[in-house]
Amino acid sequence: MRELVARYLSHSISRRTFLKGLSTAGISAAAARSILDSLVPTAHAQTAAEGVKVVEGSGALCFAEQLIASGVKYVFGNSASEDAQFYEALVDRPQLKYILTPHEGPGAAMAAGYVKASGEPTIVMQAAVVGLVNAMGQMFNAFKEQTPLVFYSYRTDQTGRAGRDGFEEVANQEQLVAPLTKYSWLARRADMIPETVRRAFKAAWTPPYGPTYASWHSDLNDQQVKTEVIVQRQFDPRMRVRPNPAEVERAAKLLVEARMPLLVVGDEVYNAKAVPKAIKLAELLGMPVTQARQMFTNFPEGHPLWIGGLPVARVSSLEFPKNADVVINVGNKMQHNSPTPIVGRGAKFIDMRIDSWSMGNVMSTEVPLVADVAHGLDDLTAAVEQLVNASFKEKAAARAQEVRRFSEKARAMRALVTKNPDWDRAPMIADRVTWEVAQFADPDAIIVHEAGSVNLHSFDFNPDGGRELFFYYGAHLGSGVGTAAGVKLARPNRQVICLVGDGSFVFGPTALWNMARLELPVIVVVYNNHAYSGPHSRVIEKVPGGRMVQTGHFFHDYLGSPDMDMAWIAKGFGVDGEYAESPAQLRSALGRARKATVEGKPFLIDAQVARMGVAWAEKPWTPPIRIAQERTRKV
Amino acid sequence: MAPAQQKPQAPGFPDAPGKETLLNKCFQCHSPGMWLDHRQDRKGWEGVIYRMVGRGALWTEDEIKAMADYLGAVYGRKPQ
Repeated sequence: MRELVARYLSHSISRRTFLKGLSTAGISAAAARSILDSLVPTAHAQTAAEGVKVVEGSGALCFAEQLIASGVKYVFGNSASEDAQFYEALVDRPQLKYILTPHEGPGAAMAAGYVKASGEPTIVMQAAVVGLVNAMGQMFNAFKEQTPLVFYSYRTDQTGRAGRDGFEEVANQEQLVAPLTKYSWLARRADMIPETVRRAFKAAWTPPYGPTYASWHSDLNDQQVKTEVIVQRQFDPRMRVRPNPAEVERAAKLLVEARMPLLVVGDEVYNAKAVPKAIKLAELLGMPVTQARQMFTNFPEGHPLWIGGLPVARVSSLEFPKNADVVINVGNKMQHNSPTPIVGRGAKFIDMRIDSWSMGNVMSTEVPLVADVAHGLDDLTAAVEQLVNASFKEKAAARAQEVRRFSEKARAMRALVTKNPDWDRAPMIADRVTWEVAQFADPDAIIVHEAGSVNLHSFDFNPDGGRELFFYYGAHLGSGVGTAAGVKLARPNRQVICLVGDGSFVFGPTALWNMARLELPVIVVVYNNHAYSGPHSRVIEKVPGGRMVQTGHFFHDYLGSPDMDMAWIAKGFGVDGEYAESPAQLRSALGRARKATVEGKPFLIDAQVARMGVAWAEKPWTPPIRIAQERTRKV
Repeated sequence: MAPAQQKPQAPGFPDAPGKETLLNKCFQCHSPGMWLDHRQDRKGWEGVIYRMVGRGALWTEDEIKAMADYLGAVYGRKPQ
């Protein structure tokens, strides 16, 4: 009941919801009405105008009140003594739930996973600059992945002694994050804390999304002030942009007249919940669909118009179609990793996205459609429908048939992965681990994937009601376990499986402890080949036949000697785990993982994966640095 | 004037059955240099090619066999 009262007084819930909550708690209607009547004067006294509340208290209390008004339910933070007044404010604000994370990096990854899976706002709190720099790896990911995540840390230096190079002080702290954020600001007075926080949320959540940072001197948290707190809806611009109608007409004409149009999808489709709209447009045009690297799968992989991902991130590398004359991108930021543009100069290019800043930078763009892609797809589909006639329907049907023939052939070819002569070996090949997990996963499982050297197959991801993928785009390692914890927090009724390489895993295992404490039943599968296999292969590609290959002296890739035992690491964080070397052991372990998650507990499987590829020795060389042997005193 | 169409140059890859398939399929992503010092038997190469299927390569079983035969013959294990 205390939480209900707090939520009512902070205007987080309506009178009706408040009364309903009391009734659910077993309080009679008459008693509930009486409680409400007693609270009304207090509630009115706090309200200066619709959605505006005047609060009085410490700066940190006002901070907490603004978070509530901004719709924040969970706060992710690491212990910070200068946030004492904030913690004090939490005691009487149970609707603001604080999640203590033992390291800022995985903590920020957890917050990002929560935002991605829930679409709800949250904030990550760090202790001064020393905690901030730990979180900045995930801030980089949020920036690259356009995740609307708000970061906060105070400045340990107080207003009366700043600029003296004191303890935990760095000049211009807020400028550290400038290249990685959409907005960063330092509140100058305690009464400006809520305003600064509001702007951070507004900037993060106005498309194109991205991280923001708010900061202030730590003594402002302790100062007593009276200031305004404003609910989110009163400052959110609710930007939902429709595309320019003239450009929509041009795009529709190009698509209808195209011999072979091609649709590239991206994460704006998933974020706008527009997957069914993308399917509708593709089916109307009988148009093949692909995707360059993104976080989510944005089109059902089992759909007959799905032709697979872009190999080598270039349209020209597609096996089919070889002759796309019009390419339309819907919502893909298009990460160009080569001098060759993803869409070559030969095809006419239509670019539909809300992120106008990154449009037209690399590719020559025939039709720009700046839009919320849900609106954009609606408008474009309507415009195409206006142009459809009998002969076009015939052309589109014939094209769809051609695409279907290819997609069926490609599907059969992908299934050949099980014919690998090493399929049954132990330790396993990575493809076998993937395949076993794909056979095991629920039809609507969410797969969080941070096994960088592993390409997933066999899952048949379907963001339109089936299995979903949460991959990474930013590549600051150590995000996987935290992301999975955040996804499970947001969607507790979906099976969540985290696939992570051993290299990535050891960058961020502390979120396992959060899984144990918060009873987040996630299954974590570590592809453990005791190596950085991606960098191993890429280094050889850069220096083929060099001294490293000749001598077998690779300095950068082998994580064994001694081998790390991930199951024991998990146990240290309170998560049960086990080791699986063969496919049979993996299947059996997955069965126990399912049982654990049904009981509400996370589970980790340390899957032993063979090091396969060029120039791996049976027992890899390690640099001969053995300090114990060099000692002159045995201490 | 456009240059005459030429076959990909691949020093170290002698003519033998399966070479054309290999050059067309693998050099989209890989430079030939990566393989020159690598030796393994046909089964080892076949495993490599199937791992590429796991990474999204679209090949028929006949193409996989041709490439494994070629690599096993040309880049098989060095005599001890």
